[in-house]
Amino acid sequence: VTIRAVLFDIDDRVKVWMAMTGGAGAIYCVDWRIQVAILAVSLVLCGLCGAWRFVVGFNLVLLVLALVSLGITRLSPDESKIWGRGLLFILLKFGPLFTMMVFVQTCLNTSRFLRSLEKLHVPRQWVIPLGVCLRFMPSVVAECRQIRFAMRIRGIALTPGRLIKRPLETVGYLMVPLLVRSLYIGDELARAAVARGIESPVAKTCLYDLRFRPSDGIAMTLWTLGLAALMAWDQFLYAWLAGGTP
Amino acid sequence: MFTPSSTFIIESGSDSKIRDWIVLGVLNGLVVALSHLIFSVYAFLGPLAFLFNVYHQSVENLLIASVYLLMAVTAYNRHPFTVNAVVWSIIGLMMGWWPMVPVAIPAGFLADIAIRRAVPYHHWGRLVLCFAFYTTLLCAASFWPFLFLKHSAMMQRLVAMDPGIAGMVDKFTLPFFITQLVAAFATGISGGAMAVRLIVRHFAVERVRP
Repeated sequence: VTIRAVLFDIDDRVKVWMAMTGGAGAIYCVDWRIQVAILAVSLVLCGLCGAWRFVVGFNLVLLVLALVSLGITRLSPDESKIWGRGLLFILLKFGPLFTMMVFVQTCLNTSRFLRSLEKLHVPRQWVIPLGVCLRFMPSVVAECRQIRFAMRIRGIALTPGRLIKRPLETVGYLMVPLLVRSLYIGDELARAAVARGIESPVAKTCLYDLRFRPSDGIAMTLWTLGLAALMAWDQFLYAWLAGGTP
Repeated sequence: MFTPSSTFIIESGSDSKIRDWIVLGVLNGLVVALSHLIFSVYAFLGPLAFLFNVYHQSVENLLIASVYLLMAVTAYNRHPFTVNAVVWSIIGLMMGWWPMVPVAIPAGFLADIAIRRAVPYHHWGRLVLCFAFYTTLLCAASFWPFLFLKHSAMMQRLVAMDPGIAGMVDKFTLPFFITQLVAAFATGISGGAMAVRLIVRHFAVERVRP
């Protein structure tokens, strides 16, 4: 049993809870060491789920920003030093939000998540579009690539200069085929869904076990306690370093 | 011979609500994916990336307004903007950013009420105005908590621990927020007008005679 398998096996509601609280915790904390700790934990989670390319790319961006920040702080006069730190501050503050979303996107089982939402009596008019949206998103890049390829064959380049000179025409070249293709896909999916009985009013059975297991409870409790400890530590650091009251 | 009982299979393209919800799902997937694609392009802009991140809604309005408006045109009576707001809110919640929910969903609902009367009668100006209103509030939904930042307990702690950053937040929050909303509305109008031209030229939209 690998850690990756364990992470994928955790209940999807727990994963969403982890993402929600991780991001919110990062916003709440103000000490940079705590923010780095939350970011590190979220990056490790992404790495364990298999999103290594994202982790490497994110660390590279962090490294470049840290170097820029260091350069500005060393070279510039006092009043502009803050700009260098500002960029790094923004990435440290909001990085965990983004990384936790990547974590959820990597290990979320969409079918299980949607069935959980149905079980929580979320209206179908929200669950169906959300399910289609989550499943369609990954294929958009492939669709865009095909359209760009077709444009290249016809000698049409998608450049910023062209976009500024002829905005309507350039946006049209890309968007019209994409929209037509999306409508076709929507129609095909609707036919398939209707043929599989989506309109049937009876309660549907589910392939997955949606019960909340003790191991899910333990994972949720450990995560919440860990995050609470970091937030308490942040308060303690504030009281200790700045002489304030926690 | 197998004859399906569903009207949708027999009359493809009818007003089946399931078909509308699925098309809305596909178009929402397109919006979210394109938005993230645009977002990833900013990484190549260096320090300018920060500015583009702040005015992301405006860039989105100019480039992908046609997807939003196609949602409104194809499924105007299925609450397209509310569904879009729900999708954005859930994506926001997955990132721990709950403030989107109380602003985006009511904004989508209000815009939906107006487009229900605008689309069937081809009142395109009204549709563009609804879109601009919705995207402006979508922009506000992402950033409104920053307005209250300087009064928050978190800010008090930040002032004590990092006065430089706290001063920067205090100085730039309100001007950035106002210009964001103005830019989002202006680009909503111009991007929406371009999108309507695109849709009218390339798609057949059924008109209801008053």
